[in-house]
Amino acid sequence: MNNRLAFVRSLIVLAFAVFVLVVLLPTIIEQVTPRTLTPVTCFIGSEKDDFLKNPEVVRLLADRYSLEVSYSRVGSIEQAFIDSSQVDCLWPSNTSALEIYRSQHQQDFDSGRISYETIFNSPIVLFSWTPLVQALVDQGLFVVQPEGYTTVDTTRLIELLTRTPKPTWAEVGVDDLFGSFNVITSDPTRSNSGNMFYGLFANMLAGGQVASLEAVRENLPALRQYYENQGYMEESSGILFERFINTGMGAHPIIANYESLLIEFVVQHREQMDTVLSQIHVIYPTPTVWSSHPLIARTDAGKKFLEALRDERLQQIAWEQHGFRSGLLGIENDPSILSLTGIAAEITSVIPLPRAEGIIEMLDYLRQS
Amino acid sequence: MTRKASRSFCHFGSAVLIILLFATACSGGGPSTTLHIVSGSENRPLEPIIQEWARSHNTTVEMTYQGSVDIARMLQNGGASFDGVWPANRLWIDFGDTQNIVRHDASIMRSPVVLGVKRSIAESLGWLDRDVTLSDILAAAESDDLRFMMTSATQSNSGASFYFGALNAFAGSPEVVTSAHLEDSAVTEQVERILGEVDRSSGSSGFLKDLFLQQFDRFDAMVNYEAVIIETNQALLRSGREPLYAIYPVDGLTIADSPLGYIDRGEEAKEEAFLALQQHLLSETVQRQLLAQGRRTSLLGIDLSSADRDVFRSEWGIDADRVLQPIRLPNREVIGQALNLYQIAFRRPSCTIYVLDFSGSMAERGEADLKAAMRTLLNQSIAQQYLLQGHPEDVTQVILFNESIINQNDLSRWRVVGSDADDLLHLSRQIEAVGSGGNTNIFDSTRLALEEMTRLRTPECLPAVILMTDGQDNSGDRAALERYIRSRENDIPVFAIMFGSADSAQLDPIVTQTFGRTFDGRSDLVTAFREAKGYN
Repeated sequence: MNNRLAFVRSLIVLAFAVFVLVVLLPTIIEQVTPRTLTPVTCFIGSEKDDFLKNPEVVRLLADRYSLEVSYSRVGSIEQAFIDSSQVDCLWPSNTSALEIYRSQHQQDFDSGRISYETIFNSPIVLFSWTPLVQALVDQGLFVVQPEGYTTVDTTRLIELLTRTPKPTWAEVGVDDLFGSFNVITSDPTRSNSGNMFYGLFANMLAGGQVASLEAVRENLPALRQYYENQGYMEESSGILFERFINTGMGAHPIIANYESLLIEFVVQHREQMDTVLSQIHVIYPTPTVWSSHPLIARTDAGKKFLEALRDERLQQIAWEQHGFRSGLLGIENDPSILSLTGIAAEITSVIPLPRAEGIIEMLDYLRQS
Repeated sequence: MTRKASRSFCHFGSAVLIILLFATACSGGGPSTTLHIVSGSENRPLEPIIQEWARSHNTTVEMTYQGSVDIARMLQNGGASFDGVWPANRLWIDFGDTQNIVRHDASIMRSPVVLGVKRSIAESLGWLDRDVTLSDILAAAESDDLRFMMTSATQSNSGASFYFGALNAFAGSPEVVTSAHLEDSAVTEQVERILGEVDRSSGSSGFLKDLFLQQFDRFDAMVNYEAVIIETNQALLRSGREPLYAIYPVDGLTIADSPLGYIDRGEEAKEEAFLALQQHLLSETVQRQLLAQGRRTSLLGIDLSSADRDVFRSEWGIDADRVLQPIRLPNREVIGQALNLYQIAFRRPSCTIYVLDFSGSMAERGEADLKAAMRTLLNQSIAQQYLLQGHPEDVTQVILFNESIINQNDLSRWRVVGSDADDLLHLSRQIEAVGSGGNTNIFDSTRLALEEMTRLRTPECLPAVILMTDGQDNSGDRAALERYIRSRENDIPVFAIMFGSADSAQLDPIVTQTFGRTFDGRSDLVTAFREAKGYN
């Protein structure tokens, strides 16, 4: 009897001890040293999802800046149009969104209640496969620069894409493929990278300068013809890149997309880096357009986040693990750190996108086709 | 240590042990999570990989297999109760996910859609080691040198892919197929001709393979995934039969990319379990397993350099060095129009006899569900939502039974020839007016349906009997039915839909002997009817 009583007593004491350890202690500790993280909520473009999920980024934001960032993934242009009153910041991936948003909140921008800064940049580039790149280098369309990266004259590229009838692959020197020469983009009416390639396209049609609204209007039929010949287009830049990687040269001979996607892919598959880089090439259009990632801070918490993103280590992670070039003055992105061949150290030939009104008119026109 | 102290220590030790065991049991991976995934039927052979993972991760994974186009439709309607989707092509997620509920989708593997032709036939057609076009396939089928099967384009991705390929080829391989091509009779006439040569249809690619193996002597070829052709060949070799040779139509090729996506309903535990499963399927070990099962899984492109050539055999037509160039798919709007046209104009017409149980046991829920199911198929505005509308040359007959055939003397009044919406609606209303009562006679009513079909069917149509019952036959002549089936050419499949206390022991022999399929309608009769119709 005594034995059993002693056993039960021990059981109760131990259960109490476990209760204190497991349930009460953490609560007490938390109350003594409360977490003082400031919550920040943001709209972001999906391409920055992996960066914000990166555990080191989360830890740095918490440890150095006491910030805890949560976000909803919203298309760049859409961010400018939907109700943003409940978020601290917007982080689109183009300046058109910034321009539209500013036109709606001009006073707040003028008074400094809303501030912004371009945090990252990523150029729109072409991705293609070795046999095809070699053939097009032989034909002189693609040019390997002395520094080792490959470029294409954008004017000549657009001329080929708008020529009637369109040249076949064989006519541009690629014998392995049938059908017409083409550059595949994501759906410009739904996705930013596709949208930006069409902006670049409009500039080239306007004689290689930033297309005015009138010039965009004038060239809408040519843009539509290119658009209609694409058929089914992927809804996002990430999906287009995945399909390019997965289905190969026959399905996706050349695509236009963000430079950052290939860098991020290679970093994620470092052990197979040589295989990847021996088969896939980046081709830099000259000129190209920047996909800029301006952070628009609406509140004090948003401004703290903007300040935090200037952190050198965060900028370094963005480049070395996610392929985003810094948008900040004074920060350089050294491609040799990545040990990637074919990545340009600097993007020197860049043309701004047409103004937002031109882009919106183009999108409306394409949607109606 | 004194005896007392030692005893106290023992007690304490036992208590520690009990609490530790309790704590371990409580924390043993947390509560079990259930993932319900709807997948294309071509993935069924991969289920053991998933279930093995599930067992070791305190997770239950329930798999449901459907055609990919049907999965798209299900997504359009909110994704039902599924947590994950795994169609054959990402197109169907994009097409169906109008509510933006799918996240984290990633391609697990790739496989081209090919025409697997018996090697001897491919050889006699001169198709070994040369480019084959859709026109070559049409010519071979029209001269009766090729009897082939494909799934329904409005149910399954492999059928839809071949259909899009045919549209592209017969439009003269333009940059992309547009609405104008769908209105061009020079294009549509050839598309109708090639679809008119389809000797047997099905709602899913996996079932098509089973059917091909069962009816090997009746068919020469099937449209299916390269991976399924490899599986078929492995089965054929095991049974000492000749394998299939994969033809990659140069002007009509597509590649399936099998994306696995998560349906987000804000449940963190499910999301975590889903991501862990997806990561497992993308791990190097599993990717190698999938490659060994005939799926293309290289990191870049659809390269086969690391593949086992005993799986991807060159004598089966698989050329590892060939650049596969699929067609560009039309835009979303044109895809929608094309699927609609397939159903109402281009496909082979259907001759369908519905054999419907109105015995006494149907009186409660069964009768109302049966009437709702028939409304879905016959009311053309509802049928359109599921791309199951009628074709102008369809023949639809309804046979009602209890212990006898209720409408035996009046069958012509229960028949619609064509796809007139009012006529079909009228037939639906006649069904609405019927009440239940009496016993069950499955065997005699099925025999009558098979006999009727020989009278009703046209050379153009694909025949099928759709038998729905909720009970066991207690009045019919089973032996007479079996004798009848054996005495005939037997190309009329019976699709059985089980409801209530239907007896699979009675239905299975009918279904097996006629190369049909059983659908379980016990939890959702309307869906079972839709699926069964999709097979016709």
